[in-house]
Amino acid sequence: MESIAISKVRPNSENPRYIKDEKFKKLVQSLRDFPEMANVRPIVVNKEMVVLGGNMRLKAMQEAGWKEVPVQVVDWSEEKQREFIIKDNVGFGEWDWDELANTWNSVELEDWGLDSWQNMDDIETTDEFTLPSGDKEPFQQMTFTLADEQATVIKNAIDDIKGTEEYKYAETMGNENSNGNALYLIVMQWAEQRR
Amino acid sequence: MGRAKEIIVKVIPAKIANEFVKKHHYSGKVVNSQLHFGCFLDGKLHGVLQYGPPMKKMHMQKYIQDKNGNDVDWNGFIELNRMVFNDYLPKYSESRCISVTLKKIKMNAPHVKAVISFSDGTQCGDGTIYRASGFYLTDIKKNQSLQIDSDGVVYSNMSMTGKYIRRDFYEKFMHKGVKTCHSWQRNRDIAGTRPIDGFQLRYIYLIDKTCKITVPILPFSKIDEIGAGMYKGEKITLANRKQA
Repeated sequence: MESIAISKVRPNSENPRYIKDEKFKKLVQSLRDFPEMANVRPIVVNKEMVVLGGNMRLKAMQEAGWKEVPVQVVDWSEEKQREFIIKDNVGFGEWDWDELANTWNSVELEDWGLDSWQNMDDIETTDEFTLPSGDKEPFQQMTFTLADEQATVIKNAIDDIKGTEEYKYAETMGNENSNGNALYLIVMQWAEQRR
Repeated sequence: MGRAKEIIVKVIPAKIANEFVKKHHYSGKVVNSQLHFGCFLDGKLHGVLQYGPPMKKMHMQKYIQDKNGNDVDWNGFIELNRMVFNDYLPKYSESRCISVTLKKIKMNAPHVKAVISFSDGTQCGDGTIYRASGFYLTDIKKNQSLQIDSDGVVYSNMSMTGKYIRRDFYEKFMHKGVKTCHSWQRNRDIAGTRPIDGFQLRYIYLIDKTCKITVPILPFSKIDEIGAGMYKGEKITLANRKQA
């Protein structure tokens, strides 16, 4: 690891991550509050001084007025560099939210940039709502206009499918209309083929 | 009741509620809901309750009659689908929040006569909160609706068929012959899943007290009789919980 002038470090133009304004402000504050952290988590750059890991931090360091930054220079193939950019940002573990709620201070967590519990002020809330009312049965009839030839084809298809094993095991959702169930099965089989 | 009284319950957007449920519910899954309540303490969201249309409306309709002995309307029922609280919330929070949401439903949707909810006695609990909130226990049955495959992945039966088939289930077993047009039982047999050991308990709460429940109301002692006791994922009888 070495310390170099911040002006020599180049942000990665292909960085696939971004940071929102509010989070960025927190990151800047975090660096101001705890600058030692940068020494144990240096910015990772390639030989051309392009950032592979730490683009947000570099931006925050510039904002915080740092003149020098700790960097770790790596000599990796193009392929490995790309792999690192993603892997460096993938979180494999999961937060134990109950543990956080019980043994960590939610105000501190928020200051440190962890989205723990959402602020009520940030959520659109209301006391009023409506729910569907009325006595609408969960069944409906549909009417189509068909040419005679089309109608014959459909009737035959419905008759055919009723004789199959598939029809015996078809999902009916409580519908007792055999033509409706047969038509549904035909459509679902068509949908199945399109998957 | 202590600080539970300080909890503020508000309707919140589905997106916020779903994110919370995915993060905190033991299943990590959300189901089709239409009404989402957030429970706030100290200005932060710490709990969510989600209500939606019952999966099997036709069955539900037969469970309740109005004061004139008629079946309730198709929309006269709502199901409490998900209830998730984190440990930040104090004791009695769940029953207080349920109570507040029921009052809000009564006020805003007076056509809703009753709430139904199912307690998952295979992985979660036997419905302590529902009993504390005035729900009636109306059924205890050996679980069939939660299926587990040989890798330990759990699926609800409704997610094993039709338009809303779970993608991971479909992709895992399509080579065996699982199809969206099959009934879930057919897909179960093809995929070789089996029901998780345990029970499912059905609870009903009457918002409209003039209605009556037409299916038998079971005494809570039935839970121990059948061996359906479970608390926080551990098999334990009601009697042993009282002693603890």
